[in-house]
Amino acid sequence: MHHKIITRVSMVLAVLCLFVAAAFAWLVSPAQVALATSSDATSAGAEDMLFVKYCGGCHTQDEMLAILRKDDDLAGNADSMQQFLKRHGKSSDEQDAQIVAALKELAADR
Amino acid sequence: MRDELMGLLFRGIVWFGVYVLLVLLPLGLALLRDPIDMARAWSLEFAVAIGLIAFAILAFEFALVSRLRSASEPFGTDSLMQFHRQMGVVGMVFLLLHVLLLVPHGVGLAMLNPLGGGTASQTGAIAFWALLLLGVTSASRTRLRLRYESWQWLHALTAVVVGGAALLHMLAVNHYLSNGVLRTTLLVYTVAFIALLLRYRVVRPLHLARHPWKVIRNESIGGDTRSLQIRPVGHKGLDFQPGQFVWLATGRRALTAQQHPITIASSAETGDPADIELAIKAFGDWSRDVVPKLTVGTRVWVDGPYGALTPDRFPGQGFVLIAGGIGITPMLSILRTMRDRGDVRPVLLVYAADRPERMVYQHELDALEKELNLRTVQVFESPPPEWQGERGLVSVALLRRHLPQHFKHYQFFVCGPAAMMDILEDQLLELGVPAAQICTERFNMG
Ligand SMILES: Cc1cc2nc3c(=O)[nH]c(=O)nc-3n(C[C@H](O)[C@H](O)[C@H](O)COP(=O)(O)OP(=O)(O)OC[C@H]3O[C@@H](n4cnc5c(N)ncnc54)[C@H](O)[C@@H]3O)c2cc1C
Repeated sequence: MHHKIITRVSMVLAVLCLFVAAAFAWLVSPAQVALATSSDATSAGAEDMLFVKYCGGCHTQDEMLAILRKDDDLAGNADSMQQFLKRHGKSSDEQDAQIVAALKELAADR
Repeated sequence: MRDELMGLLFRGIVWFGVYVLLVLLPLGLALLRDPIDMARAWSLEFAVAIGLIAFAILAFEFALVSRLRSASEPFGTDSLMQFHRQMGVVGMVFLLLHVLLLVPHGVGLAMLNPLGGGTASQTGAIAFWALLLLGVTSASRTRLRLRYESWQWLHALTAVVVGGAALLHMLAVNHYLSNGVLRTTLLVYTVAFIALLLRYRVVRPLHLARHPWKVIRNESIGGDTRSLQIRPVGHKGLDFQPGQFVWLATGRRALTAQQHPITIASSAETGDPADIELAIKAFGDWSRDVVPKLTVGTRVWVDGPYGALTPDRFPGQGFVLIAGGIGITPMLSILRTMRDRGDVRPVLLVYAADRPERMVYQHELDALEKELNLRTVQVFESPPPEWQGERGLVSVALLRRHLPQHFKHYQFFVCGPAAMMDILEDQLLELGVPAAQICTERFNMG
């Protein structure tokens, strides 16, 4: 078989693998997860989805809960978090409030 | 014959499809995990996906060169070897990308310390460094002056370390592998790898040990080449097609013997006893030092036949055989077989060598020219001044001067040094020979 054909097949296969890996990452990345779960309200609440969509790319829920509980100042920390989201987040003010309220509730519960 | 060709094509497509499927399957199975648990940045997921694919590619690297006859038949062993080398490079690049893409996500380069961190980082680092060692020793084997056999052992050992450490790394990270189906699949890949390795290193040699051959003639035929005639001992011998090759194992025991690919030069219409002839040119330590010492009566073993360069699979109205140097061996087998079968189809043999004294089987080729519908063109790169025939390299211009009128209906077989093959594969297409009618084999695998 031709040397060149095999080289081409290997290259095409390598590119195909890269595309499949990219598609996989896109499918499981936060925005898609939020979309995928938006029709399944029982498995995750709307606030959870917002968290996953806007924060989950870089932060875990546990990290956020630890920040909220810092120095036992739940209310103060929640205010700072909301201010932070207002300045840096891509979510609307209303969504910021929803995310922080849900996290606050969780932090108080656990 | 056409049916056999279509069958080969179909098998080739199926094998390739199975390979692609097995490489991508782990990623498909990773999708089965509940996505809400694993919401992480795209680049992080991409890095993980690349790592999973790299593992699957590397796990199947060995399958490509483990002499699975049904898988190698449609492509040819030399092609599978090339694919193995190129996919190995792809796997290495993917693994490197995997590490680099993880750096912005807090996985510092300190993770490459095999003694630091936890199990996940240690095993990852071991896999990384072992793969680097494997790549460097493969790419610079001659510069490092590694003997082919020593390199083969090192290659196998590092491959086992890479595979084992990468699997342990994924188990220790326990992200996607907490998915039982994926974990089981990757364990199956590992078991398949071990099974193939055992078949290759233990089962096949034990089988060979029960089917020994003995040397009945070993003589120099000029051009730094020896003709070795061997006879099956206590078994029927080989059923092969003209142009195919075997792995000749020499040494004290079949289990530890050195194995080298050598084309069968004799006719496929073997007699009784079914002796075969091999022509071996002195290249390196084995062919130069070991082969001449294979005295009459020495026990050897033969694994085969393998290879796809044969008119029995690629029939044509006629044949054009182009041989460079010791690449004449498959052509000789084809011609001898045609003689024994009374095949009168037209053949053009273009035989290229450095100088006339480097040519082998000259007298026999002259005799075959009288017995068959054969025309031979000799080409010398550095001919003596009195030489009147073709000189230089085999080129399109040279072929145009000699090809028969209906050459586009002929089947072309080409075997020679890598440089000649690179040129001819392109030039034959330029001449208008359909790709399906060009069959090539390279004698250098490493
Ligand atoms: C399909 C095929 C058919 C061949 N037919 C013939 C033939 O009919 N006559 C002939 O003289 N030569 C033939 N060769 C080449 C022959 O296999 C090598 O020349 C021989 O193995 C050299 O071994 P060495 O130790 O003397 O030389 P080295 O210097 O050790 O090796 C030279 C090269 O040979 C190849 N090689 C060496 N050992 C092995 C091995 N164990 N497995 C795979 N490749 C190896 C490698 O590409 C290496 O770079 C064939 C090769 C292939 C792939």
